[in-house]
Amino acid sequence: MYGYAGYILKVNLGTGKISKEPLKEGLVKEFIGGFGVSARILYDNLPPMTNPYSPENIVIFATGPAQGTLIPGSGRGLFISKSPLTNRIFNSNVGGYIAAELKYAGYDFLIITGKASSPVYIAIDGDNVEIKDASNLWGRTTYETQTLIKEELGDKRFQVACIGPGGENLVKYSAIIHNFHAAGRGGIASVLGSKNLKAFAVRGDKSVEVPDVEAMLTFYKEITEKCTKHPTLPSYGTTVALGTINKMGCLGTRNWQTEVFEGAANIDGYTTIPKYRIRDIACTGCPMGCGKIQEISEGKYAGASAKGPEYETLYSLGSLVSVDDFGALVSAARLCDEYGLDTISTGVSIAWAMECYEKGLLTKEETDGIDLKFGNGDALNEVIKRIAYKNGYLGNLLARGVKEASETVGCGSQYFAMHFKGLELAGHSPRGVKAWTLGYSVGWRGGSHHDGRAHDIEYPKPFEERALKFEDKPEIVYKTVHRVMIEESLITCRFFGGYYGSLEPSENHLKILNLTTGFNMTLEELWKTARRIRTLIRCLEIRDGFSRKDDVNAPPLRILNEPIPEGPSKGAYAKPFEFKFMINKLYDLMGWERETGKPKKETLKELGLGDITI
Amino acid sequence: MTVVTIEYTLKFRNITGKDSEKIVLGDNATIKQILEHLKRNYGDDFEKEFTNPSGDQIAGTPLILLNGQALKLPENLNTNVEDGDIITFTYAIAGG
Repeated sequence: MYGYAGYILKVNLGTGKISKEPLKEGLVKEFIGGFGVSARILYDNLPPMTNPYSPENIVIFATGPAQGTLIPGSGRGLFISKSPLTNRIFNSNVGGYIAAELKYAGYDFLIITGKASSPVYIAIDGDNVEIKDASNLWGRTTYETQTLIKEELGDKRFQVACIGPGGENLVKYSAIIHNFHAAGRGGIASVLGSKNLKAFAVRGDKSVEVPDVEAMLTFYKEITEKCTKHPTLPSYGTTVALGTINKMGCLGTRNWQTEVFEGAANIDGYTTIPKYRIRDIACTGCPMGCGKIQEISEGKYAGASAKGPEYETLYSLGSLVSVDDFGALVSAARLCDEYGLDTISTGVSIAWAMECYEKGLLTKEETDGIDLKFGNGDALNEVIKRIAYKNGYLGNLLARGVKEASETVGCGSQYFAMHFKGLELAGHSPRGVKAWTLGYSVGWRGGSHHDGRAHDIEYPKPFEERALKFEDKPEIVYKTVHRVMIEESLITCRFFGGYYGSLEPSENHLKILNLTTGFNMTLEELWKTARRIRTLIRCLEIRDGFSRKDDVNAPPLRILNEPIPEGPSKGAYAKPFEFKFMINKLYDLMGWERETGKPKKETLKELGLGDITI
Repeated sequence: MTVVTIEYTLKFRNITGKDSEKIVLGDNATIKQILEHLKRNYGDDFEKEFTNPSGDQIAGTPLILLNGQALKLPENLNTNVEDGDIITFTYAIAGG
């Protein structure tokens, strides 16, 4: 098959069995690859209600037909599993080089099952696959681990994805780190930790064949010509998004108590990149090269360096915790990367704890003596270390995620626990961008800004359309959700949305599919495939016991009750009756039952999912 | 007389060589008049940022904020500005 390596690699850590089986053409024609195929694999192999930390849970590292080809923005891969944070299917996207390398090794998917009796890592060297002892690696940080594995294997060309102390200690939002990149969200690192799997390393020399190399090259040149002229990403990465979002009055600040941050200018890339950027990095074959490494050159945190920090981290470890000391922020981001923690969930959990502390719901004894006030950058760094090792009352509490932490502390602290469905809220306002009230709530992950990428469409709109108008949002979210389905199955980078299609599955997405696979699908068929994938994911959620009640109860109470108090987006919030209207309308568009949120029988039949029982 | 502050970010800063400036316009000034003023002062490079001949979607779309509120063009060309208003030239948010 064009575009695919043609094999699935299976590793059972419990039995030690390693096998490979052919990737079926019928499967990829129905589900493309990446998230689509993985959803089907999980439906067929993962029993409902599986505990995420049980050996029965499955972790898939997935590629799509774009990986290993010249498609710009194809330097991405997916980890898919059942998340301990949300208790449902979760896809965690990672950049870098490892996805292409898996294809070069000869595999489209790596499926990990079982649990090893002691720490191990998987070494994949083309056809030669081994489970190796990792006892000398357990406890190491993610950067140390990658270096040591490459040294042990004797070849720097290996690409490594690993967990750090966060994943080993089952922090529910621990991150898998590969190179400088993170599969941050959802805590799949802790699922690997529960399996005693420290890492996998892969290299290969095979190639990925496409039907028409000349056509592929033409497309590559066309997109490269455009994307290298992007006004922000090649020069600043995502770091300048913070200043603009703040100017619009939608930047989550002090645990979303407000959405205007007075310290934004100190941490926005417009200020920091000219001073601190030391090098750029790009994912496999990416002409845009949006990754920036920044290193602090003065002050208490001199020497601290990190990739980015990206916009989401500037929000979560910056405005959300009211830290405008860029050195403290970079140090905190670096700690998260080294320990393997999701920066978004870490920041949201700490911001909640800061609000609890300031309101007297957490005492100084309970914060282990830390003065956990908003703005305390030293405290931010200290708490991150405690979370990674579940150290002390606070470390233990926050390692569970903000949903569970707030249920433990109670006393009304759930009101300002900023998560949707257990996943801590990303840096795009569900009040300032009305479409996000809906997108987060009906998303399969909850607080992820990729479950329907509404803000690409909505941010350029005037306030009244962006934050107040609600009648048009169901259709917008319906379209953007399906765009994401295609991008997560081809696997292409969201930052190419402006070139491939920001709103919905489009001609360029179709072109990518046809250039890589030669399937010659039509746009109508592509749309149907997107709907099939989203509906199957919904079935997985339903099978795990989720339903409409989880969507309608998803928003944090703060955003349903408190308008944005100040700034250009003052007054915006998620009005309950609007929310209900939007959910009902979105369900209708999706072909789901209004009463239950289940896909209708006729929807399943239309999409070729007639074998699914829910 | 209307005095407004224009903020330039990113490429706009490169074109104008400034972070910001105050400009003086007549009474009942509009966004259109501001754009014309800036095109006169900064020429083709400034004007080029607002054309999109390749028909790309929103990649690199310029964004004009009036006191933090995004303005849709060309519908809002005749929006009046008031004394003390801040007009920011930036780009659609990418990333996050």
